[in-house]
Amino acid sequence: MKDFHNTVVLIPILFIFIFVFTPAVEASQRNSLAYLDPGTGALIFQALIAGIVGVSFAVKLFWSNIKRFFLKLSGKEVASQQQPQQTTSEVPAQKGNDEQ
Amino acid sequence: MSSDGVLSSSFRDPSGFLFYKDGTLYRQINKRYAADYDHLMGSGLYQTLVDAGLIVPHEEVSLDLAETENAYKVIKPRQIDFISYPYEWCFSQLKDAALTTLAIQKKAFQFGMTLKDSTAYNIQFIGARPVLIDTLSFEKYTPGQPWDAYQQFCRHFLAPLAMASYTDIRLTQLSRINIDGVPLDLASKLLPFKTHFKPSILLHIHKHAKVQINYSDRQVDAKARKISSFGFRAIIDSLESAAGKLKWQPVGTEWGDYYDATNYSEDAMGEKEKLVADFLAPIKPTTTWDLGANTGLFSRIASRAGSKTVAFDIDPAAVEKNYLQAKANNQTDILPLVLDLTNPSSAIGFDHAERMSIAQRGPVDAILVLALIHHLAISNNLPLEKIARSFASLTKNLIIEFVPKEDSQVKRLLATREDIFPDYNKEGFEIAFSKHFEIIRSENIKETNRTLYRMQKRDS
Repeated sequence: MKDFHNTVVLIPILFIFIFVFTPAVEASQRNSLAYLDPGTGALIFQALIAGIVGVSFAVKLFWSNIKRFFLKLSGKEVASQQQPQQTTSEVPAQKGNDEQ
Repeated sequence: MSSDGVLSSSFRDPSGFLFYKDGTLYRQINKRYAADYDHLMGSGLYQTLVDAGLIVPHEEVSLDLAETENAYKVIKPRQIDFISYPYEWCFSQLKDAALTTLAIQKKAFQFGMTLKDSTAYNIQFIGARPVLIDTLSFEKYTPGQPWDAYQQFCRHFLAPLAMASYTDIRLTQLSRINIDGVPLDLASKLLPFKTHFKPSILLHIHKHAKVQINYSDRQVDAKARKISSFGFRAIIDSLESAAGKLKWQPVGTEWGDYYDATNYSEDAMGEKEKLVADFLAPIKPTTTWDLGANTGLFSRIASRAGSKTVAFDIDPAAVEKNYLQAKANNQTDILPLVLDLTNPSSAIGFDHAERMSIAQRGPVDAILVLALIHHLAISNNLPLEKIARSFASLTKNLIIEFVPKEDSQVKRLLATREDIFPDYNKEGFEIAFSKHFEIIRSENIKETNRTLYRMQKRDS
């Protein structure tokens, strides 16, 4: 399942996002004000990638929700599952809207 | 190491600093960090992290101990037995330190906080368990903010792990010359092209490096770029799965299966183990270094005898094996580390004073030097007297094995070179070491021509 969403979902989105949209965002940033240290690239970069990794994360949470639902149906314990479950309930509705 | 005053490595963060007073380590928390500290303690985050074994516990002590006037609190953290650095860790230690950092970040987020830095030097090992030692690393999370420690995490953890995994384990040593982590553009150059097809490496290293270079001298309003809390969590999750997936499998290791291919029969090995235990018994060390420890067979004899033991070896594969074994057994009294004795960790950082040399982290009660002397004296041409002097600067009690020229391991070392070591024999060894140590006991090891010595440093 992990491999599935990594390869099938993530790669095309990633390439489209990075190679098509990145130059546009970079251009729009050029004329703003504050002075930058080298870490600034990393701060901006996070805003750029939040959407990409957000999709992957959402898919992961979605699958783990489904998995949990069926595990519940079959009456099995879910305690041994990996971390996404414990935070699932906190997922806000605005997951497609990471860049503001 | 523990002379009074502010630690020379503790200057970057204005939130506070570490200092020694009467030989005890304290941390002063400055007034400017008061709100964050109160949130850390009051929200339950600190207790959650302590319960999970993720942070070093501390107690608050009297403000009278404060070093400067802007003190808000003074705390006394539980002291770490042996401070180690990322360039001394094996692959799994670095990976576990990375995952621990992210686990702490995730916990912090649940309590409305985030890590403001993620340097590998903030993680220390209690035996095989990584813990955060910097209590002042937390700040309150402001909705919309990116992860300030993101780039540092990539430089300190993800880049060296990826290089070790995809290029060569020896590249973890780059941390030694890049005190704030491996530059991402360098990592990007050193990683093989195929890593461009690994989404997480492509993103967090290759593209990250590129964007960083693009923005390094541009004026932009970084603060205006906001990310949602979901995006924030997604980045942490992505880093976690990136680091979690990285693997390193030792191939063609030199000494990794040393114990399977020694000159020792099972009987002789048992005899040697018994002798080492006997030699250690009267010393009753509380701290021991095992130099050339391989996978830690004899280090464990010292730790079973109640000594906190650091097991050094030059071979990252042996250290990896040792660490994984210590981790599986939940051991807190043995710390395996990578160290080249012919070029040990030196003091690095500003003024040579940020990270300690190995010698500065001594002295110790006892040192084990088993099946190592021929590597130092013959492979590295080190005069025996020089070796003895070095050990004498580190310990009062030495347990050392002499491996003579008749031994097949030494024969192998001499097979391809001229024998320029006329004094490399039992007598020459005893004469050289007697200049610094008194030989208390020596025993031949059964079925071999090797000798085990217990020596005590002479009063100088």
